[in-house]
Parts: sequence; C-alpha cells; structure tokens
Amino acid sequence: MPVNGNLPPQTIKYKGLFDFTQFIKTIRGWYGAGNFHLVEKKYKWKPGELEVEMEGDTKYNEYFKYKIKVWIRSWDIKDVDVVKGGEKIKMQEGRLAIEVNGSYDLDYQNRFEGSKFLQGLRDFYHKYIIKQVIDDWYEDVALGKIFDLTGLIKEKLQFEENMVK
Amino acid sequence: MAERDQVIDGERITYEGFFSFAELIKILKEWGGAKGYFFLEKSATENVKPDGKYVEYKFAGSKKVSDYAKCVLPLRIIGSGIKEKELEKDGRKQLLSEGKVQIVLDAFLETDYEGQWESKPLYYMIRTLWDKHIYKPFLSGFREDLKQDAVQLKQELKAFLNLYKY
Repeated sequence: MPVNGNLPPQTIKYKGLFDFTQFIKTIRGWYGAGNFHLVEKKYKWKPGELEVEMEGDTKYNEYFKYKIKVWIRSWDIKDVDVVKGGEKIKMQEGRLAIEVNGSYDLDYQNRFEGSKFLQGLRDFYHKYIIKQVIDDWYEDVALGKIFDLTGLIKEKLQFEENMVK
Repeated sequence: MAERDQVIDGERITYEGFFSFAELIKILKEWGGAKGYFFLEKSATENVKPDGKYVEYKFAGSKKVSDYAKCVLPLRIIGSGIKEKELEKDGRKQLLSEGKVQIVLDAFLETDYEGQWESKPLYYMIRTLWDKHIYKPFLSGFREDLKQDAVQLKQELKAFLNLYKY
C-alpha cells in the first residue's frame, strides 16, 4: 500500500450571487487544464440545495502522486434575473460552502511492498533521505495547486457580486 | 499531540475607514516571507448583505525554529459593513473597501510538532523533563522571539491601516 499524507484544507464560505453552472464548468476546466484525471464522486440535487464532490489525481513522477478534492455545498438557492452589460441573465442567489483539500501518495506503484524489509527500507528512505524533498518540494507542489484552485474559486465568486439585480 | 504554549492571546487591531483587503493580505504575506513565516489561508467567508459585506479570513502563520519547536501566529481578519468605493487620489482612481475591520492576533509556541515523543508514556515523560529542565533556555528564547514577531506584525498592520486615513 502506498504511503500517503494529507494536506491542509482550505474553506470558502459565500453568500450572494453566483452562476452555478459556470462555476462548476470553471472548476472542471481547471482540472482538465492541469491534466488531472477527474472523477465526480457526488452530484446531489434537491430543491434549494446542491452538493457536489469532485476529485482529480495526477502523477508528478514515478514515485509521487497527488489528489485535489473539491466539495461544494449550496443552500437556499433561488434563481434570480441579473442585469449584466445591459443584458438580462439568469443566476443563482444563495449560500455556498466550499472545501478544497488534497492528499498525496508516495510509492503509488507499490515498488517497496514486497516484504517487511522493503517496507522498512522505504520508511528509512522517507524519514532520513528524502524527508526534505517531501516537506519542501512534493507537499509544496500539491499545496500550490490547492491555492491555485482556491484563488480561482474566490475570483469567480467576487466577480458576481457587482451585478445589479 | 504537540504541546502548545500560548505567548499572545487575542491582541486586537480595530479600524474603521477605507482600506484594501488585497493589499492588507499582501502586506501580511510579505512580512511573513521576510520573517520566515508561511501564512496559510485556512478559511475565507464572505456574506453579501444589503448594508455591506461581512468578510472573515483565517490565517495561520508558522515558522519552524528547530526540528522540535515551531512558532505559530494564527490571525483572523474580520470585516463588517464593507462596501466597495472608488476613490481618486493623485489623479488615479482606486477601488477600495470602506467599513470596519478587526484583526485578532494570537501566538503560540508548538513543541514536538512531529509527534515523535508521544508514542509511549516513557517518551512523553522524557519530553516533559526535557522541556522543563534541559531545553528551557532555548524555549524561553523562542518564546521571546515569537512575542517580538507578533508585536512587530501588529505594528506593521496598524501602520498600514493608518496610511489610508490620510
């Protein structure tokens, strides 16, 4: 089994106007542009509420792989007509809670799974030989992607509030 | 779990007037970069209300001072009644936020943050004795440095906000 670690989650809460369809499209586009293998684990809808869970993973090299997960929950959604650039468009108004987190796998190809000796060797390798690489490089690569996605989400949300109803 | 020693608890900066959120966060991250702190944005909340936005950002700045001790600066920036306004200054138009902002700053020293000395009761006891009798001068030094950093950060943020008064 690969050795894994978790990355700190980033939470965004928002109440106001947003275009949910465009918002989800933007997130899917981000995963696609980053060569992630995207899986939509959940898309739950009921009147006034929506819950979406997406997970994308990508291989950084033959030893390190990371996953970025997005969980989006919205409440009290209602459709509103908004004027944008003189045009009337349909948007949604409600509350959003978004969590972006990630995890990484080391030795995802299970090369060091053969025996207890190999597993011990792998633990030694992680603790004493590549510890700096894991802490300062691998984790930062995955964290950078999380920040990137979080920044994109916030940019998308801030844009919407300047609309006139 | 790592041991936490609270150095500063609930230091506040309150300001009302014009300011820029983006610049405030930029100052925070620049200060952190210069001092060796990594500020992680843990959560961002925005609530658009008729009388202005309510915004809350939670940051946690951390700096490893050794493989055993880490300085942590949790910070909350709370804005209420925030409205975006366009101001003209020196012939240039700027988009600024107007409202109340409160910054709450804490600081604590975290020891054994990797959890290497808590897997067994004997290790835990050795860690306690180590902290109390052997590593004490070093921990006091780290605490003092952390306190100075927190005070300096508070001054830096206050000075930045006061710039917008004029």
